[in-house]
Amino acid sequence: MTATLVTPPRTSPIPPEKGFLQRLQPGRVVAAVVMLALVVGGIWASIELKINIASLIDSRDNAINFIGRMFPLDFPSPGETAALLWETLSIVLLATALSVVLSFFLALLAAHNTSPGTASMMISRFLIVLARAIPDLVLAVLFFRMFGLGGLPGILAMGLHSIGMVGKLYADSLEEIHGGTYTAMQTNGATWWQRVVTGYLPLWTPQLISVGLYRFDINLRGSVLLGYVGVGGIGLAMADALGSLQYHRGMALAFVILVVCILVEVLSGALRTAIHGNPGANRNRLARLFPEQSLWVTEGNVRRVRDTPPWTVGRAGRFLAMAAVLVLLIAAVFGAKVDLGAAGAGLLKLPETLGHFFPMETDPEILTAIVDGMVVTIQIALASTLIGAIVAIPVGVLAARNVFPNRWLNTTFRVLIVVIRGIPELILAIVFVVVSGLGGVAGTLALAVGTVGMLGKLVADSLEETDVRVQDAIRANGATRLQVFFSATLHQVTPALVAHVMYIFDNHIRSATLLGVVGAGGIGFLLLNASRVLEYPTVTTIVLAILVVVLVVEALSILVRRALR
Amino acid sequence: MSSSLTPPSATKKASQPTPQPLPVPPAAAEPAPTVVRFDHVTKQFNPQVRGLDDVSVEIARGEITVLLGLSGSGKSTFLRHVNGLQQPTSGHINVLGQAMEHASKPTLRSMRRRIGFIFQDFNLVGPMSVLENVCTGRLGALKGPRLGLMFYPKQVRQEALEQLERVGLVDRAYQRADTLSGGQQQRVAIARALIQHPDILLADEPVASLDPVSSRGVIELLQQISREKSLTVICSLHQVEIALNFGDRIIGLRSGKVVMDERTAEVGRDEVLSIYSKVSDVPDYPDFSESAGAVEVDLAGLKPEDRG
Repeated sequence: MTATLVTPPRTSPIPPEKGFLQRLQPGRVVAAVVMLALVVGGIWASIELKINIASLIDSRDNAINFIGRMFPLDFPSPGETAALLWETLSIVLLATALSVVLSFFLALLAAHNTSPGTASMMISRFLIVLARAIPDLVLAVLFFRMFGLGGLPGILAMGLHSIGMVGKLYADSLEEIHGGTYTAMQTNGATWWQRVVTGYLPLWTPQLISVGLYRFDINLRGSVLLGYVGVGGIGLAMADALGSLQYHRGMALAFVILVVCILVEVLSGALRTAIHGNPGANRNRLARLFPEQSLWVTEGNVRRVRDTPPWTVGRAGRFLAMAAVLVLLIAAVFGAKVDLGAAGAGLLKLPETLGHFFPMETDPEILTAIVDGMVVTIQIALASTLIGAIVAIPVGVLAARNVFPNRWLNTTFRVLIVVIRGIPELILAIVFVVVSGLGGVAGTLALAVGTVGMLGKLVADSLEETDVRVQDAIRANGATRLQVFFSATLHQVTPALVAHVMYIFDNHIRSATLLGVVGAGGIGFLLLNASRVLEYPTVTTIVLAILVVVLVVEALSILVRRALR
Repeated sequence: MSSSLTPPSATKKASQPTPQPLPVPPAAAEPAPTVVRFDHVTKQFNPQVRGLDDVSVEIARGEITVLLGLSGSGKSTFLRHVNGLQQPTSGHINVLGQAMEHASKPTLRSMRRRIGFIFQDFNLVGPMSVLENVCTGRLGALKGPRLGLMFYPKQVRQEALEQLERVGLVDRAYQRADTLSGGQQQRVAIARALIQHPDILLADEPVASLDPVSSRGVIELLQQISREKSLTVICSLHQVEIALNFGDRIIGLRSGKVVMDERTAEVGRDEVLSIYSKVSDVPDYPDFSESAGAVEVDLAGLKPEDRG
């Protein structure tokens, strides 16, 4: 086998020219067909949802009217705001911590280089996909039924749903670690646990922390939506205010959320950079605080090398960071108003509670309504992906530093992306519901704006990661910037671009199932109503419908990712 | 070293529970006991590829054996069969009186405690301190996972310092392992293997990633340690010159078969080079690895427009 590979026939080093059909690689065909389907579907959906320029202009009056009702903003007292924020942050912190801990173990079972067996690998991977497919809103509805009010339902809902992303990224990053240290521990006679902890954990920790921070960021934005089903904190306060048409108060709270989200996003981004970068300069300045400690110690009359590690900036920093996280987590347990008594009682009633959700609702009339809601949900995802991509791709191109290098231009678009990324989709949806009325148009526009933040960043990052040497070679031939972009950079970035668009569509399908909660169209509206009137069998049917659609799209994006490889 | 430091013997079958060597007589007297015995060992990776092909070898205590051969000739596979990282398709392997084929996981683990392993690319845990890396050599004898130097018993830490002193790096004890040079990292890896108090030391191309000066230092260190403790060393190498100076015995492998097995003292350079000569006509460039061939395939397979 190897012999034929290693020694090619010397007689014809250049293969004969292939025909058109042979040049079509199956991977490219699949990717092209899916992309074409997304574009056609997006156009169809935009027409079905009646999104057009004229109706957007018509809603201008609504916007002006809305702004009039918003101002003056009515902020709660600083103490009240702080209390609401602390409750939200506590819930988000505990939820993220829960997902980090559970994902850690699931990833160990799911990654091929640590998994003890095929069965545990399949099961843990299935659990991760399942966690991603069930929206946290659905879990929250279930857990409220079980545990009643308080922080616990929100923590569990967000924590379990986050495993879908955190667990996957943890397993991926674990698989990327070079296995040499693990083998080295194996040759020492170490057990599985010893190998994993000593061989992998030191190399894995940066990813563990950085993915956790990233998810904290996402959960903070998601927690606002959970306010609509009763998860405490600032999201609940906002939902109550808007529900009772107090726009002055509601929009003031939305503004507070927006500011906090952007702050946390910037902070977590900076922390993540600090973890992966080399904090040389700062460390040297801090190092002066620690006097050089001698390698030698004297015990009695014996002078020998110390057997305890000296205190350095790094060691002190690690200890302080661990202590700080621990204190924060304990404080958060109180901040989130976790009622452990109710939790225990809820667990005891688990079978009974689950019984409320079965058998699922099969009344044809309700089924028709669910299918209609699902169609609108898919339309929203298709239309918002198309419209969003049309805006986001140019924005990403202009934000990338290597396509049209101009500091002022690139920075402007980078800042635009960061600001849009910071806005929770829910707040966009609320605004668009007021401006363009209840229904799919509001949801589409909200997600389309969100796309500019998400896809714009991905496009800009991918462009900056392309190999500049190819571009330089073409520019050296006298090509203009625009020619270089179309003849080299665009080719280099196309596979990544297709993957990103697929990711955005996947993401929008999930979001579109939920934005109906605020009246932005789609199946979420039915879900919220069914859970409000305690029609749990209907909830089950809706959840199954969501699961089917989400898993189909997930399978589609796996197909596209495989094809691009 | 107290006897409590030695790992307990694996099973009742393990005939030498104490690693304290019987006084090894000089070569003239009765032969040293066999510690590794391969008996018609074959490893079939897939229908086409045999890693080991009917290999029968006996290695005596205190002997330094060098494995020579092309990449893919079965050197690493041989070493990985000695410590049970791989299992033979057929044949018998006996190490320190313990049958290694079809041995249970706990047996294999306790056998590995008695067998040190040195890797080509060191395999130290980069972000960890040098001293903690050495301590990890004792994991097999300790219970439970450990992360952080202070989680190792004081006695282990002190012995790790002794081993670092032995390899000449005690002043780097609290530095991150990935800040050391390649040669230094390999010395740390040797200290990590030594703290196991191994009966056998396996080394898989230990100097292939090192410059000539560091290579020489590492090889001399291995040689000294083997002589001091009459430690059995099995080492795969690429450099014929080093092999001739280092080993007591040279085993040549080609496509998984033993094609040469001689005492170093009785063998000439040309004879050693014959291990390679039938595969390649370039005897002074034995490292004609498979990857070099693969690059050619890639170039030849490219379309002309892709080349430009």
